[in-house]
Amino acid sequence: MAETASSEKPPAAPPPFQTALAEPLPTPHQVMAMALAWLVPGLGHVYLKRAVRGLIFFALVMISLGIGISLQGNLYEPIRLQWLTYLATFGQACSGIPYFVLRYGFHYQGQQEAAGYEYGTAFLLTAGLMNLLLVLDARDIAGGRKE
Amino acid sequence: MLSHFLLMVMYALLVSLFFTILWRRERRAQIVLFLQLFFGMVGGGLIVAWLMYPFPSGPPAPIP
Repeated sequence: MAETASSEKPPAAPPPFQTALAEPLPTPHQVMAMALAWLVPGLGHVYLKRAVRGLIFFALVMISLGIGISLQGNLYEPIRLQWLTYLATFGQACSGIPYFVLRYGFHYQGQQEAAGYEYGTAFLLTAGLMNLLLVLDARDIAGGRKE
Repeated sequence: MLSHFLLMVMYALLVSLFFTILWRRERRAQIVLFLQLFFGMVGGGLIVAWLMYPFPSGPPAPIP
C-alpha cells in the first residue's frame, strides 16, 4: 500500500479560475464600433469599412421606424411598477439617436386609438432590436471574430 | 396601408432582408436564406391564421 502511494503522481494543480462567460474586455476599437453602431444604425459597419452593408442596414432600420411612426405605434417609456415597459423601452432605445429624437425632439408617443397602433409598435420594437443585433455584429467584426 | 396581410408581408420582407444581409455573404446562400425566411414567416402566419379561424376573438360583427 505504501509502495502504491509513493508511485502515484502528485495531484495536478487545479486549473486557474475560469468561467464559461469569461471574455476579454472589448478593445477601444470595438467600443467605438459598438457606440457608433448604436448611435446611428449602420454607422458601426461604415466605420469598419463595410459601407454598403452599413447603408443597407441604415435603410432597413429607418424604414422599419418610418412604418412604425406612420402607423402611430407606441414609443415606450418606463412606467413605474410595469416592468415590461422597461424591457420594451430598452428594446426601442436600442435604435439610438432616432429614438431620442422622436421622444424628446418631436415628443412622439403614438396614438392608442389608431388602427395600426399594435402593428406600428411591432415595427418600432423591431427597428430597435435589429439595431441591437447590428451593435453586436459590429463588436464581432471589430474583434476579428467575423468577416 | 392598413391591410393586415400587406403589413405582414412588409414586416416579413424587412426582417428577411435584414437577417439575410447579416448572416450570409455569398449571393446564392443569401437568396436561399431570404426565401426560407420570407416564405417561412408569411406561410407560417397564414397557417396560424387558418388554425385560429374557427376561434373568433370577439362577438360576431353586427349584420348591416
